[in-house]
Amino acid sequence: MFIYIKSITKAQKAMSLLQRHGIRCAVERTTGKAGCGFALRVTDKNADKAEVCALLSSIGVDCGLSG
Amino acid sequence: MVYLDNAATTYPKPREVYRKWQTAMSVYGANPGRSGHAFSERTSEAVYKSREECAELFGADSENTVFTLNCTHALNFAIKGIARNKCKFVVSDMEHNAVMRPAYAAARAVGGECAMFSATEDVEQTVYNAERAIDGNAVAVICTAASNVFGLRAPIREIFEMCKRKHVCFIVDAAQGAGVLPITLDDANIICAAGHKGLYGPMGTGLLVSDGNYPLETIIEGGTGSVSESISQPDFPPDRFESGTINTAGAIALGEGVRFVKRRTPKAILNHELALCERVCEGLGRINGITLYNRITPENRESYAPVVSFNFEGVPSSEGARILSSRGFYLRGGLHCAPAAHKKLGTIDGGTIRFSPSAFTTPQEVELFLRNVKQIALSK
Repeated sequence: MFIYIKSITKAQKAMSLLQRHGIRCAVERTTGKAGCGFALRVTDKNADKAEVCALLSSIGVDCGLSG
Repeated sequence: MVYLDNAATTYPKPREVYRKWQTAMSVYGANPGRSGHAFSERTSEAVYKSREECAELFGADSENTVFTLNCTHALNFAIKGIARNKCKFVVSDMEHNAVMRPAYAAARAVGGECAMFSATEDVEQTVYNAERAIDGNAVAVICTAASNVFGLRAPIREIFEMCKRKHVCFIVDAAQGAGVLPITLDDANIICAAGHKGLYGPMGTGLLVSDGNYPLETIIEGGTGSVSESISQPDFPPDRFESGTINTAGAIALGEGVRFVKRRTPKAILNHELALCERVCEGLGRINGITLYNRITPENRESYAPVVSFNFEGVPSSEGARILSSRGFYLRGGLHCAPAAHKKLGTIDGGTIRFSPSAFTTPQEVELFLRNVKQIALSK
């Protein structure tokens, strides 16, 4: 799961939140049509997408941008 | 050397701050938030941890906690960022030039005005004075948490409650308060703090902390490492206000300073410093030839931050500070960049010598200081 996030601070906040819930993930630098940005890569194969998205939604991160 | 100029910059810093700064210069030496390699990512993570640490101290969200160069920088962001056409700023008569100059400059730039209210020891009177200065054009009340000249604390929580009723932004200059007074976003919409004073970080660090209720325009723009395809500044904090590479080692070390403050607790640091100020006031009060401008006692300590202003009678404050320096006591003389406070105190012509302890100042240093002040006063 790969979630684009404009702000590195927001991305790190998201990573911190997921890791507190035992979900492995990492922040990555991205470059795409929206220019430079960041993404959260959820590396935990057992992670439940619905759970991840609900958690991220609580801090204003929209999983709709995930790939 | 006995360093008693901590209201300007705390010294020494906690050992762990020095260590963290050194580590940051080497281990976290890449540019945070700009590159995708592991070195940059490590640095970004260290900056984020520090940001979280700072945010927590003020009850803020990490995204609304912006690293700045100092408190003045943060105040400029807040004051100029909230300015609107023909707006009015309301400031207290204890303010430092870090508030006065940007407030007056911003008001001039938009054809607005600044109004000054009198801060007193009477909480209700102070809030009333501030409220009376607010009119339909007022966009912000700006007030120091405590005077950097005579230590008087402003009733910021009460002023904030009034500002909420009036739908006016309340900005607190926490240069002298952060790290000793319990200042959080329950006390203001926006808190501006110096990193190098009561938060025990390096010089060149500061914080702009906001509840996000009053969006700010930018006063500088530039690269942020985000939404770089756009010609416009990002609309999200902290990127919106962190153009260009931040003082990365400073920001990381500031987090360590904040951890130190949390471990000791602001309350314990305040109690320690106020006890030293009480002893200094008592001691100076017994010396002939000394004028004391604020007297902190066990009875009135709740109204003060740990700062004491005094003079050798008939001696300009700069000269008094120089004599003390020649004996190894480092205090600041002059106006302390707060002319309005000196007008209030009646010391605008010569300024004052300012005693300001830190968490590391000892009672023995204070006794040595008092003995030397007595000797100097007797020799005059």
